[in-house]
Amino acid sequence: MTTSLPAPRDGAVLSTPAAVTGPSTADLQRVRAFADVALDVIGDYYGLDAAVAVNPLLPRLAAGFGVAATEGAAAVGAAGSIGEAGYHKLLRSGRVRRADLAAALRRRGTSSDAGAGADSDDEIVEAFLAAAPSIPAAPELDRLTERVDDRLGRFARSWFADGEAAWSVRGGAGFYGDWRALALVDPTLRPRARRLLRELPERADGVIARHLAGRRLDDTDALELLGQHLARTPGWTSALRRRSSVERDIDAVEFLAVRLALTTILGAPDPAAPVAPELSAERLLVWQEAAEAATHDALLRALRVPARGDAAGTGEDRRTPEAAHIVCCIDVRSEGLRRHIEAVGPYGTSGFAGFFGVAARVTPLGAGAGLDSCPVLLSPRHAIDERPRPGAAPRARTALDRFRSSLAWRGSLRAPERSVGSALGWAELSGWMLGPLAALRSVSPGALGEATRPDELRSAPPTLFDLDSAMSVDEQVLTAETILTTMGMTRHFAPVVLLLGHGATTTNSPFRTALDCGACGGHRGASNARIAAALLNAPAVREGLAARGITIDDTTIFLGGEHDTVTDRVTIHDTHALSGRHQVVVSALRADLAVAGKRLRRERLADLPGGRRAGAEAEVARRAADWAQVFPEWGLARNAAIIIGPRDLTRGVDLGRRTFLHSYDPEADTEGVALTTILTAPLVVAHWINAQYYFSTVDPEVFGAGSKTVHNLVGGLGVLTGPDGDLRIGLPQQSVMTREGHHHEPVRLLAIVDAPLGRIDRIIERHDIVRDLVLGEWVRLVAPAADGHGWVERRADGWHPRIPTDNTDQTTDTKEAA
Amino acid sequence: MTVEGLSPMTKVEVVVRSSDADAVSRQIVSAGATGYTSLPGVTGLGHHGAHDGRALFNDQDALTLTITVVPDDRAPALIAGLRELLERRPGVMFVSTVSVSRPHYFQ
Repeated sequence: MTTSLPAPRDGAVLSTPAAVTGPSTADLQRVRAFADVALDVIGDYYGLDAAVAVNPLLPRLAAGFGVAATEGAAAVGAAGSIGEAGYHKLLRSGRVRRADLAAALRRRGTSSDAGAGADSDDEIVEAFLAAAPSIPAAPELDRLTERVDDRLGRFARSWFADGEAAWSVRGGAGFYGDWRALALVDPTLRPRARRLLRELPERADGVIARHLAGRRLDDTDALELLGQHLARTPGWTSALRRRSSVERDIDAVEFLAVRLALTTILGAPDPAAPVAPELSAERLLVWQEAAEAATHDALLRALRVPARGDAAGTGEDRRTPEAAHIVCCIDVRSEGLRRHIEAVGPYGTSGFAGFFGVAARVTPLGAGAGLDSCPVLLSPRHAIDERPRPGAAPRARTALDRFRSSLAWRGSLRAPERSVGSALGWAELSGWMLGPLAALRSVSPGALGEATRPDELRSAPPTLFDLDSAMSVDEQVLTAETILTTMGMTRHFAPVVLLLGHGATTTNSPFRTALDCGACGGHRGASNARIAAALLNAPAVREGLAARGITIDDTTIFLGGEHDTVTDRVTIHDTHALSGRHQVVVSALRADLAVAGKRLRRERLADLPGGRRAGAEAEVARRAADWAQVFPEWGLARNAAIIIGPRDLTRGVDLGRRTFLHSYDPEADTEGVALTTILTAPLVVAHWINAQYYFSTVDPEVFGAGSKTVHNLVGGLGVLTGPDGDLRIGLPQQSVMTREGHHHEPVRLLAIVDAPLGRIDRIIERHDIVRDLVLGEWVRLVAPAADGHGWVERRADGWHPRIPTDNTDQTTDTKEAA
Repeated sequence: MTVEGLSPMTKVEVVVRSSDADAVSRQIVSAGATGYTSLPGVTGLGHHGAHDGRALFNDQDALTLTITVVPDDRAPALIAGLRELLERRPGVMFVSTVSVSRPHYFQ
């Protein structure tokens, strides 16, 4: 077949002079492709209804960390590192050792920065420091461009969060069409601007085509120009990216059309080209490697290098029988609980992604809609409903009636606030009643009862999850097998195995879902834990598992539970029908978890601003109920590593709640199936979290959400700083820093993988995502050396010895547990 | 190849990373195609080596094959847009003539 294609483009992006004949349909399709590619200036923003941590420079993953953190960050006007001055400060304080800097310089070769020809560490370092770049000039601000940003932001806010608006701006014509219709009658626009607007094409792609045609740009420049426009509002662009793939009611073409139309009618220039990054990619990589050496080395020194053939870990031969085994989420906050509960009693622990392999849309009892309770890397495979247990229907009805009444009461209280005409009058009318309550809540958080979420049932009736309606028995068996084999738990089951999800109880915190379980899609983890436990208890599933070689004794029962990471209280669910023996074990476990939680609370409060170690239980309860609290907990701040291997690697080591822990038994996974799953999913999620904390710390203005104290909510979409402006993506300042400085240490993720090198290499070779992460230096991957002596690190050119230096003179958070 | 009694059309098949599949489908829809078929998790061997299917817990680390059929007169614009996309994203495109039995489905 021969298709007549449009003429190749020499110079100008459009094949036909748009001003004369109008763009051809082929040109418009090209323009659409340009707009889509230009979106790559920033990654997706998932909103606050189900906040998910993500690398804001994810579209530049393949370019590698060095290039992304310099050129990619500069493209959106951001810093991708703490900068030359920040690194110098660390050097002066001793946090970066000159020996580490020299080692990074030697290892990374002899660039001009590295001081070629120098011999001693001091000479190399001095040559490097002498080559410090000058600070780039600040970008020039253009008043008209800022007016374009401002008008675009205001319309985007109204259009994106349409459900929250008293008066809708949507007219069903799409983002550009709706804006155009309003702008044509907008009295705040001058008549000349409205006349210019009438002359613009009615099609969104036509507006872009006309804008580019007027500038006679070649492909590269046209693409850069569109990227520069989108980079003026990285927050809205980021939200647009996600929305164009999910709701699909907007795309880059529509958004750019409004932006370019505003530019035209306001007479604004195109945005200036981004200022060159302060650091070269190579210089950044040298500094960053030196800056994270102390933290990573301390961790490596604390671990025992495993030798192949070790009988270690999770489902393997355990040294002492366990009264119960607790499987926690890989979240760094679980490390503290695991460490403490192991110290309290004869318990074993494992780590697994907190959705427990159940990729489902879960509809809790009383909820109007289902929640995607799985990592955003996955689409839900099943829809599972929570229902009252047999015999509990009357209680459920009562609870639901109360719940709905409560929602209706809240809704009627808030309805007048939302109405333009009645908000002030309602404040006058209701102030006598609500004012004292507000004062009481402010002065004495928790006085009105324990913190709960308004969208959750207060008194939950006994429920179950309807697995059989959602999954066939074969699917249940397969899911159960995946759960067990991926974490290496295939034999020697304890009498009670507790699957422990996690969630955070806070009050009035827009970022509450950012504290919930990321593996559960930014939701609380109890449902997934209960579903997985029910699955593993089902007789048909056990029968199927036995046929596949996994025998779970009848004396073993699985239970689901949840760790509240604000209060460190642990709830164990579905204990109503336990046998006497199991009741005894669970009672003891509850008591020991209370002790472990108490120890963990004291440990955590020591790090929290205003944390008082005396009365820790009351303090965390107060924080959970305090509607003005900006530091309910630290979340995943200070995360620095993921350890994929058996618990024997880390048991007894205080990892300072800084490591993701994923259980893995290298001896049981000879085909590398489980490791492939771990490296293509939990490792990716851990990297996203690590990158979000990193970038929110190094540039809290562009990649972070700024201070919580001046946030205004835009529906469930996100927050603005003040009434207008760009949508704030990333984490708020109070998640990564205090007035004294950074709380989160911006280091890349160290991935310690206890597996044969060949197995890891095969996965790197076959999976783009793993290759990009490891060879692109987003993640530093370390494994036990093949000869069992020390560690080796995977670099682009193969494996190299990784010898952790002794940095006991420096502050670290990893120490041997007493 | 044309088959008697059937109507000739242009079939466009695109294999890209799953993260780029939305951009492909947007091109198809905006070019006036009445539909497309999307096959996520395709496997094979190509320019960038072997590709496994969808990972167990990661739908995004995979390739997606998107297939559409359009009348011949709509094909050039669609192909032009997809070529522009594939200049900057990894992937391949196959264009062929096919015969369809219900041409009004594709008009």
